[in-house]
Amino acid sequence: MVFLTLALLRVGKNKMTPYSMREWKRVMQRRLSWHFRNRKRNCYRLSLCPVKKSLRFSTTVRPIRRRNINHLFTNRIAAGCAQHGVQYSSFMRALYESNILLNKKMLAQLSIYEPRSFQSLCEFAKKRHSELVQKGLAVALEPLPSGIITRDMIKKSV
Amino acid sequence: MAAKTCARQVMNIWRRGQPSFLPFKELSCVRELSQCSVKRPNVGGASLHSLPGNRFSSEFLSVVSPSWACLRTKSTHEADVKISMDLGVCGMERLEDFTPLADKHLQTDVTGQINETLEQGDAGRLYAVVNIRGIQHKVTAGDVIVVKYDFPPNVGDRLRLEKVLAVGGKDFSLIGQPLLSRNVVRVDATVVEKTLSHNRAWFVFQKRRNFKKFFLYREMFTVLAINSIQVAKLSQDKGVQQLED
Repeated sequence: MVFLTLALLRVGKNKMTPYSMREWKRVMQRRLSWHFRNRKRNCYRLSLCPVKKSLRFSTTVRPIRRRNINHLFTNRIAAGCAQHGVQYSSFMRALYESNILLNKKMLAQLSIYEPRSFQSLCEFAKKRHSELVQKGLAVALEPLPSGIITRDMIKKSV
Repeated sequence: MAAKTCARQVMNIWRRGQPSFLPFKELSCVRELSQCSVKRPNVGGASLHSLPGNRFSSEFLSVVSPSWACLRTKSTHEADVKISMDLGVCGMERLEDFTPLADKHLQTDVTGQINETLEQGDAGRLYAVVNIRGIQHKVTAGDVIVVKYDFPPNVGDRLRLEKVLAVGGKDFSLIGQPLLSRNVVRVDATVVEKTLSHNRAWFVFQKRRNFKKFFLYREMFTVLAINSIQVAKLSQDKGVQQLED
């Protein structure tokens, strides 16, 4: 082991652990708590619990962060779609059914940074929907009323 | 009976004012209500009924058709209700006059235009959506990407990223179903660096149970630099759905 100063050499190998060296513990704590507010920033005892809390949060919040970011992407795509006259769910359905595998992160980025590409995707979704309607699948797409049959509906099904 | 209570609940929301968010548990009653109504939802989008802000339109009541068994998460619901409904957007606009996507003339037109822009060099800076190990990146020439965990290529190796989902330029974009063919796009990259991430902490603690675990870990990173993106001319024979700009 290399001791860079005489003082450290004097202290010796046995004593150089965080458990026995007072200053070491404080230095390690301050590396995690230097950006806190109030006395937690400067006082060792007061920052013991907050540092534990911050470490716990940084660990447990990882799946939640993913969820929040996903939610954000959803909202961004929906906002972009609404500008072109399509709802989010219909848009995603159209992409899924036509085997376009751009994920939500990419769609959100396209809606912000590549507006014309995103517009062309929306137009594609609308055209696809219109094609299905023309092919006569409109009846299958619309929700059926329960028990109420009109003459109009009978004619269409035949 | 269920329809009556549902109707009352929906009317209450309207009376309260801006119904910016339908509570999630009332979704089932709204679906029942739409099934009871005889009026068809206005898919054409050309009538007084479908003007934006009309809270009495059937679009407000209609829900995604039951034939699509989708995961209606809260984020999906909020996205549809808050943003789309407030702007008066129905599920999908039906276009009255349009040429179908499989039309040969349209396809040849679009491919011709794209080939022209490529010939003249007017494509501009191209972007590509590339899939590396399940993670998609939007990439241009000169970009730097990080690939997490152990990646076999060494520093200095030249790679060709083959899973390209989409490519776009100034005036056109090509979107693959799901991938674009190798003959159309070429994305070149070089491995610049192989390092470890910063020290990340893993700390689990349960109070009053004498349970805690703490360790630091560093993940392996590989840094790729994208050299270039090249798009080849499209053949006009193949029947492929082309997206215009």
